[in-house]
Parts: sequence; structure tokens; C-alpha cells
Amino acid sequence: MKKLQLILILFIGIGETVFSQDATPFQQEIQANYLMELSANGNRYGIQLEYNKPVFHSENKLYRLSIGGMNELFVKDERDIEGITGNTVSNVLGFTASNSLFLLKSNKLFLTNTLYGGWGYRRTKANYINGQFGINRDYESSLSYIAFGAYWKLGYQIKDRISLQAIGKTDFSRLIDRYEPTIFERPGFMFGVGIIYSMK
Amino acid sequence: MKKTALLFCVVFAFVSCKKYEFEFQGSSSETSFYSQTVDDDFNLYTYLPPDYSTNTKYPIIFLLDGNWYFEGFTKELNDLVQRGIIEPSILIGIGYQENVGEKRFRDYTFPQNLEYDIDNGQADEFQVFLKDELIPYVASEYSTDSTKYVLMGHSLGGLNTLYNMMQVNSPFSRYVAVSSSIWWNNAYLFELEERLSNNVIDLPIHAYIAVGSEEPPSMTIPNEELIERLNSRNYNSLRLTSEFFMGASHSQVPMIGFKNGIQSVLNQ
Repeated sequence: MKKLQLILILFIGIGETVFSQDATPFQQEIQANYLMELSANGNRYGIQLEYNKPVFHSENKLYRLSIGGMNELFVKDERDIEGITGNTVSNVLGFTASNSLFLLKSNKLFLTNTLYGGWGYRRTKANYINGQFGINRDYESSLSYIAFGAYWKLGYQIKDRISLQAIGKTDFSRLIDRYEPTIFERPGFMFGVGIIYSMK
Repeated sequence: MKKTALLFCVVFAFVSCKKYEFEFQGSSSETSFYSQTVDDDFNLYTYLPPDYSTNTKYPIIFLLDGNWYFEGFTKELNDLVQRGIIEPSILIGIGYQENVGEKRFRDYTFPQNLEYDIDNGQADEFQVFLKDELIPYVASEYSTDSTKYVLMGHSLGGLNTLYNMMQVNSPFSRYVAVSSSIWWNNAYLFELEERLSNNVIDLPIHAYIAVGSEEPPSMTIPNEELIERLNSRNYNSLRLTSEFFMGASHSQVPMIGFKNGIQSVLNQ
């Protein structure tokens, strides 16, 4: 039940963000973000590229809605025990819907919430060598999945077109898995930093 | 009109999502059990099937990590029995009274790994507890079918399940090992498997080994290797079933693995 509620809230959020206002072209922007997930199950590092096109800007310039697209690429090193080499690469291609709130008198500080949804692909390639027991085994698995989640960003404009931001991210993809976690499922929270370039 | 249709869809989605609940039958209880071998008190969680009778002999499922999995698996077992998929069975969840996370390292692993700063490596003592203390106790309390003693575990519990499977004098004849931590101590389990193959001509057991695709390779590869090695031994009486759950992580595998595993080993 909770899964469905979250999914509905997510889609209603996206729908409202995208369709509730008339489109008014404004400054488009591109972002390059570096993210990491530190976990007992292994750390993941990656980059996210995002393009945003504003579709609404409030008259007082304090609020902005935008839509866009993004691509994520994450790598996880799988060397967690002796003899294992390899990694897992995840790639997500998706759409985004963001709302930003501009703070301070100068409007240079801003908070952005971004919902994203798209297609994800994950591939693991690894090898295990254990000389004592004569093991030399290759392993490969891949998975396609529906990816969706949210970004929370706190940014600051440092130049006319350049802003820096701190990022938190949660991946909700596991909510629609056919298997439910029984115990100790990691939350999948990532954090990172990024740079925004505003275009005319 | 569109708004009404949308509202209807949303309400319908919420209402139709209500989970199917089956009627819980049977009875469950919790008791304390002191082991002289391990020198510790265990919690035993017991589930008896509906219409339990001393005139019938029941399979006994010994479930490791009972603190975590007994309640969830009781529902699954109850469902399987009610639908007639498996015969009525008794479930014994083996749990701890405190420090569950640490004590499972102590009891489920072998041999000792000094790199860990908590007690570990005493699966040999735990096996004596199972064989000489717990099973005789359960057999004296309930009407049991000694040809259908199942040992079932996940992760380190899966490792312990396989450890028992590699013992020539094991009292169990059926094993469900899910996402087993075979990597423990440089995958020492393969040494036990090798020794077993040197000591027996046949392995008359029913075994189920499963792992999820979203687990780290340190978990998936040794499990695949073990399955391949067991199959390569050509044991005539070994009934080995393996399953690879696509998209399942380490914490998502236990219940589906237990459920499929118990069907596999009790129905073969």
C-alpha cells in the first residue's frame, strides 16, 4: 500500500509540476554533478548530467518550475573480498521535473527539488580467483529497470552564469521491485556536489 | 468529467491495492532453551500446524536466525500448508535472547577468523548443540518424521546450513541455503566440500541453493561455484535445486528463497 501511495504522489507531483502552469521560456541550464554513496555494502561513485528548461517563473522571481532530461552513470567497485575483481556499472536515462525556490535578497541562494523517472540499466562483470581451492570463475549479470527518485539541491550563484550546489539523492526504484526487503535494506542515499551553467 | 474519471482511478488504485490476507491457522509459541555445549540460552520459536496430532509424524523445519525470520516465514508456511502445496510441518525458529548480530557470527561460522574482533568460528559447537541437544528435545516434545529434518538459513545462516550439509554425520537430510556467505574465511567451505567428496560415495540429501542477481559477486560467484562442484560429483542420490533470483538484493532473497526452497526439498 505504501508503495502505491508513494508512486502516486510521485506522478501527481510530476504532473502538477509539468502541466499546472503555462510555459514561459526562460534561462535554460545544464548541470554536471558528482555523487557518491558510502555504504557497508560497497561505495558507488558517479556523475550526473542534467539539462533543464524553465517552464514557469513567478513574477517576483522567487519560484521556478522546469523540466528536462538527465543521464546518470555510476560505478561500484566489487573488490570486497580477496580474490574478487570487477565492478558494477549503472546507467540511467530519464526525464526530470524540478521546482526551485530562490532565497536571500539577491536571489543567489536557491533550493531545488527534482523528481526524475526513466530507464535504468545495470551490469556487473567480475572474476573470482581463489588459488587455495582452484577457483577461477568469471561472472556477469545485467538488469534493466524503471528508475525513479528525487534530488535535493542547495545552490549558490557565484557568477552570472555559474552556480555551485550541494546535492542529496534518493533512489526509489526498489519500491517497485517484485521482492520486498526482509531485513537491513540500505536506503540508497547519495550525496555530492555539482556545477550549473545557465544559458541564454 | 475528466476530473471525476481521474478521481475514480486514484480511489480505485488505493482500494484495489489492499493486500490479500489469509486466515492464520495453527499455533505458535516461544520458549527458552539452554545449551550446555554452547553455554548460552537460545530462544526457540515454535509453530505447530493446524490440527496437530501425535498420531501423525511431521517434517521439522529448523530455521536459523529465528529472531528475524520466524514470524514472516510462519505466514508463508501457513499459506503453503493451507493451499496443500506442502504437507503440514512443524517450524522451529532458532533465535537468541540478546546480541543477535554478534552471536550468529559466533555460531554460524567456521573456522575462526581472527580478523574479526567478535567471537566467531564456533559452528562445530553449534552443530553439536543441534544434533545432540535440540533435535532430541524437539523429537521428545513433538511427533516428528526423522527422515524429514530440514535445516534452513540465509546469509551466515546459509553458510551454517551448508556447513552442516558437509558433515558426514549430519542429522539433517534436507537443506535450504539462501544467499549463503560462502566467502567466509577465504571460502573455507570448499575445503569441507572436498573432504566430504573424499569420504562419501553418495550424498542422499535434498538441497536447495539460491542467490539474488543484485548481490555482490562475493556472494553470487562462490554460490555458483558450489552448485557446479556439487553437480560435478555425480552423487546418485543428491537432489539439488538451485535458483537465481533476477533483480533481488541480499535482503530481498530470504523469504522467496525459503518459500521456494521448502517446497523444493519437501516435495522432491
